Amino acid sequence: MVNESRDRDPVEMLGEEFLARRRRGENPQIHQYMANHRQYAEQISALFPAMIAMEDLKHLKTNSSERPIRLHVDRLERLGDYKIVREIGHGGMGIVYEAEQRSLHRRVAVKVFPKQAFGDSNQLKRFQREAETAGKLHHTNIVPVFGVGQQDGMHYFVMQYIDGVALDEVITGLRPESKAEFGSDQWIRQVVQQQRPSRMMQPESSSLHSDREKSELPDTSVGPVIDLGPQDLVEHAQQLISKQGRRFGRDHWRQIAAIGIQVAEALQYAHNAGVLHRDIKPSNLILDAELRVWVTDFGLAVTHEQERLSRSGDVVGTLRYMSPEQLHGNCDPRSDVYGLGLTLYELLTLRPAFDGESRGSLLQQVSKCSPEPPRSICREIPNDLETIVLKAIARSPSGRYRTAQALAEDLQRFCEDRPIRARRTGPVERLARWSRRNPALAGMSLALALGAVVSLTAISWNWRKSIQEKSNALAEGARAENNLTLALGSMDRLLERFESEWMSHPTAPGTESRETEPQFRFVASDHTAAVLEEAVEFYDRFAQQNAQSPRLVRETAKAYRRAGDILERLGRNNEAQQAYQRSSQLLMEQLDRESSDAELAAETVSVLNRLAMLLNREFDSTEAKRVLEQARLLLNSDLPRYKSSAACMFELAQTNSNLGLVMWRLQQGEESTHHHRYAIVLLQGLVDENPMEPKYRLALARAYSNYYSVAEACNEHLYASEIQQSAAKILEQLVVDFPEVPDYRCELSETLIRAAQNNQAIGTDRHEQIARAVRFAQQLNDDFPTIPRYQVALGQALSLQAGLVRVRDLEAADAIHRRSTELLKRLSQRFPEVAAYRLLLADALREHGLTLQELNRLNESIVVLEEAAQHQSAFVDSQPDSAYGRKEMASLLRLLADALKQVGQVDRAMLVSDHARSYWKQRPVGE
Amino acid sequence: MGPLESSKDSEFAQRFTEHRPRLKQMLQFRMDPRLRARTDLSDVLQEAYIEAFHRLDHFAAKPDMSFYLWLRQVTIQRMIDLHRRHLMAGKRDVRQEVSLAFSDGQGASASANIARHIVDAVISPSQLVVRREMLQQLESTLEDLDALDREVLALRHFEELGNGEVAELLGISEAAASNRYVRALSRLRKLLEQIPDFFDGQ
Repeated sequence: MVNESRDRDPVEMLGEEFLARRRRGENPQIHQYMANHRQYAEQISALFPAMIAMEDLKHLKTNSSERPIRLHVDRLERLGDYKIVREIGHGGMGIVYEAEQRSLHRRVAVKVFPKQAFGDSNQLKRFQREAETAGKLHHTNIVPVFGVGQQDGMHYFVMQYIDGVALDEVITGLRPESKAEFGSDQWIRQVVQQQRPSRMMQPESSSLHSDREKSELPDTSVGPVIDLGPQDLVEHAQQLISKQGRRFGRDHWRQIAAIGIQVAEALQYAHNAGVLHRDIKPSNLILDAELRVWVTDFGLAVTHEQERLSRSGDVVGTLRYMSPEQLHGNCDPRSDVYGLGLTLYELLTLRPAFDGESRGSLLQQVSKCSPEPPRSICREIPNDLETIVLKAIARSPSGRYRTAQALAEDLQRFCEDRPIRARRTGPVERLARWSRRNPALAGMSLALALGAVVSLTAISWNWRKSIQEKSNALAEGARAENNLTLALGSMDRLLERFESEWMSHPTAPGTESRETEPQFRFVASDHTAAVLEEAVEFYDRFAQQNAQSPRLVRETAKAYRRAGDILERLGRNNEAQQAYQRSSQLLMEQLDRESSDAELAAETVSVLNRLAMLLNREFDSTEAKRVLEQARLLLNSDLPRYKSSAACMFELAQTNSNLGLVMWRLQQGEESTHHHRYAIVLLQGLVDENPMEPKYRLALARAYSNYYSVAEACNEHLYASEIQQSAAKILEQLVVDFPEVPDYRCELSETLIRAAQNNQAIGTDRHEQIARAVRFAQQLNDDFPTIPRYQVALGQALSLQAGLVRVRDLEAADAIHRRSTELLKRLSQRFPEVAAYRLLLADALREHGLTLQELNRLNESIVVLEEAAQHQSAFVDSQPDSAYGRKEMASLLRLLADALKQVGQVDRAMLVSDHARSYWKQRPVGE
Repeated sequence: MGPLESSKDSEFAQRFTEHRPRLKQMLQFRMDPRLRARTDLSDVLQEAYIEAFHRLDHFAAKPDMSFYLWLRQVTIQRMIDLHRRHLMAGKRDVRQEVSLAFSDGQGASASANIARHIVDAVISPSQLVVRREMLQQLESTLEDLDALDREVLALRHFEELGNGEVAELLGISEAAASNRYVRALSRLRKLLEQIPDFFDGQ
C-alpha cells in the first residue's frame, strides 16, 4: 500500500490507511504502526494522536445530531432475491419477515434494519463482520444464518425460517389467564401448537408449505384457536382460570430444564467459537413443534451495550434481560449464562424476574436487586431447579456458572435426578446478599444497627471457625483463608450501608471570601457508633492476623481501609490516618509486584484520596497535597494502560478534584482551577462513555460544585453560574432517572440552596428555586425523619425562603424562620458535638433576628440574636482556626449591639461592641 | 415526464442518496453555527438536490471532477446562498473573502469551527466550563495556521476525503496535498499540547 508513493509523505499514507481502518471499525494500534515502521516511529507517535483527536471530534459532531431510529418500511415486497411473504415480528432494531428465496425456492426469515440502525459505517462494518461470524455457527440449536444483504439503504439478515413460537409467547400462553390447556404434562407442546396457527394465518401465497413441512406438524390434538368464536374463547379461558392451583408434574419441570440444556449447549458451542450472543431472552429463543429450541439473532447485538440502550427503541425489553455487568459495557460468556438464567426463571414462574416498567426502575432493579426466589412464587418448583436458576442469575459473574456447559450439566443432573453441583448459599453468603440489597432507608439507623449486631455475631463466628481451622491443620489452611475472605466480604457489604452519604454530616456552608473554609468531621450517630466500634475491631484483628499471608495482602489492605473509614467516622482521625497509611502501603507494595494491574491501582489511589482528604480536614493541606501528587504520579506512570480502566480514570478525576480543593486551601487559585477543570473533563468523559452509571454523574455534579466555589470567589460570576447550572442539570436528570434514591434529591436541593445563597437563579427566579429546594427537602424529611443531612437541607432552605418572603410579608417570614430554627435547634441538641450544626443554627437565628427587628419586635430580636451568638461562639471555640467563624461572630455581636442600643441598653451595647472588636482583631490565644 | 426522464430521475436519486450522509456531515461542519441553529440541514440538502438535478446534464456533458465533489460543490453553493440571505444582509463577509481565495468558493474559514469542535471534544457541548478560555487559546493559535492547512484538516477528517480527492478539490498535486496535511497535523499537535492534559485525558 505504501509502495505506490508518488512523492506523498509516507507518514501521511500510513495515516490514511490507519484512518481507513478505524473507519471500517477496526482498532489499529498506534504502537503497532510505530513498531512496523520504525523509521517513522517518532512522527507516528506525534501525529496519530492528533488524527485520533480529529476523528473523535467528528464523531461527537455526528452523534449529537442523531435522532432515534424510526423504521419506515411501507409494504415491502421484495428484497433482492427474496420475496416477502409476511411480517412475523417487530423488534427494537428491525422487522422480521417471512420470505421466499426465489432462486433456491426455500422459505427464509429476513430481518430488516433501517440504515440509521448502524449510525455510521463503522457499526455497519462491524455488524456485517459479526453476521459473517455468526454465519459460521452450525449447531442443531442455532438458527442458521444464510447471509446479509442491502437494498435501498436497508440492511438485512437472512436466516432459516423456523416454524415455531418464541418463548415469550410460550410464557404468555402458559399464564393462567391464557387460553392454553395444561391438564397434562404435554402442555408446552400444546402451547406451541396452539400459538402457532395464529402465526400462520397468512394466506398461503406460495408453495412454501411443502408436504415435507406439513408432515412435520404433529397432529393437533387441540384445535386451532381461530376455530373458536369469541364467546367460546372467553368461556374456555374462564374454565381454565377456575382450575385452582395448576398441578405441574415432574415432566413439566424436566421439559423446562430440557429447554435450558439445549440453549446452554448452543451457547457453549458459540462461546467456543468465540461468539457471544449478548442478548439472550425469551423472544430470541424459538421453540418448534418438536420442542427443539432455536437460538436466534446471534451476534446482532454487536453494538456496544450502552449504544444499544440509547439507540434501540425497545430499551425496556432489552434492559430486562441485561446482566448487571453489561450495563457497564462488560460482557463475557457468563453474561449469556445470566440471560439464559433469567429466561428459565421466567419459564418457571411465568413472570419476569425484573418487572420494572420504566428505564429507571429496571436499571435500579438489574443493578441492585435480587429477584424473588422462584419457589416463593410457586411452591411446586423443584428445589434443585430453583438453586440452579439462582446460581445462573447471580448478580456477580463470579457467583454464576463459569460456563454454559456447567449450567447444561447441572440441568442434566436435575433431569436425571442426580445431585446437582450448585450449592445452596450458606449463611454467610446469604448474609452478604442480604446486606447487599438496597437499604430500605426509612428509619433505618436503629434497625440497621440491630441487624448489624446480629450479623456481626455471625461473621465473628465464621471468622473464629476459620481461625480454628487454620490452626488445626495445615491442609485446612486454604479453606480457612477462603472462609476469612468470605467473612471479610460479608462485613464489607454490611458496612457499605454505613458508607452511604446520608449517614454523614454535612460540611459547613460556603464562605463568600477567599479563605479557608471550615470543614467538619464525619461523626457517627449514637445508633451506629457501637456497631462501628465492633466492626473496626474486626477489621483490625483481621489485618493483624493476616498481614503475613501473601494471598491475603489485598484483603488485609481492604480491612485497614475499612477500619480507616470507620475510625474517621467515629472522629478518631489519627488512628484513621494510620489505618489508611498502612492500607496504601500494602497496596503499593502489591502494585510493585503486579505492576500495572488497573484494579489494584484504582484501589490504591482511592485509599490515597481518602487519606489526603482526611489530612486536608485536619488542616494539613501540604501533606494532603503530597499524598495526592503521589496518587497522580502512580496513575500517570502507566497512563496508556490505566486509561482504559474506568475505575482508574474515575480515581484520577477524584484526585484532581481533591487537588483542586487542597490547592485552594493553599491559596493557589490557578492551580486549583486547573485541577478542578481537569477533573470535570475526565468525569465528563466517563459520563459520556457510561451514560447509565449514576456514580460518575454524581461525581461530575460534585466536581462542578467544588469548582463553583473557586470560580465564584474569583469573581467570575457569570462563569460560576454556568458551572452551577451544569451541576444542577446533572442532578435534575439523576432525580428523574432515579426517583427512588433520596440522596439525589437532597444533593439537588443543596445545590439549589447554594445557588440561591449566592444570588444565582438557575433557570427560573429565586423564589421558585427556593420553593423547589424547600419542597424537595420537606419531602425527604417526611420520608426519612431521622437523617441529619436532610434536616440540614430543610433548615437552610427554609431560612433562605424566609429571607425572600421578608420583602413582601414580614409575618409570614417570621413563621418560616421559626420552623427553620426549630429544626436546626433540635438537630444540634441531638448532635451537640457537631460544630457545623451550631454554625447553621446561628446563621438561621441571625436571619430571624433581622426579620424581628424589621417587625419592630426588638426585644424578641435581642433574645434571638443572643442565642445566635451563643451558638456561634460554641463553633468558634471548637474551630479556633476558622477566620470565617470569627468574622461571623463579630458581625453577629455588632448586630446585637445595634439592637441593644435601640432599646436603650447603651452600656451593654458598648460591652458587646468591644467584644465584637476582639474577634476581629486577634486570634484567641488559647491552649 | 417520459419514461426516460423518470429512470434518469430515479438513478440520480439513488446516487444522491448514497452521498447524502457525507454531504450532511460536510454541512454540519461547514455551516455557520448561528445559521445551523435555525436551519434544518435536510432543507439545504433538498435544495441542493433540486439544483444538482437541474444541472445534471451540464455536468454529464463535461464531467471535470468526480461526482461526489461536484455534488459537494453544488451543496456548498446552496449553503453560501443561505448564509448570505440570513447573516450577511447588508454586511460584508470579511472572513469569506479572506479564506475563499484559493478554493472552490465554500464558506467560512475552518479555524473557528475547528476550534469550537475541538473544545467540544474535550468537554461535551452542554458543559461550558472551560470553553471560553480554551476557545480563545485555540483560535489565536489556529489563526497562525495557513488557511489551506486548516482546510486540509477539515477535508481529511470531517469530510473523510482521501488525499487524492483533497488534491483534486484544491487543485494541487497529490504530493503537495500530502505534505500540507502532515504539516497541518504537526501544527495541530503543537496546538493541542498547549491545552493542559489534552493528550493525557484522551
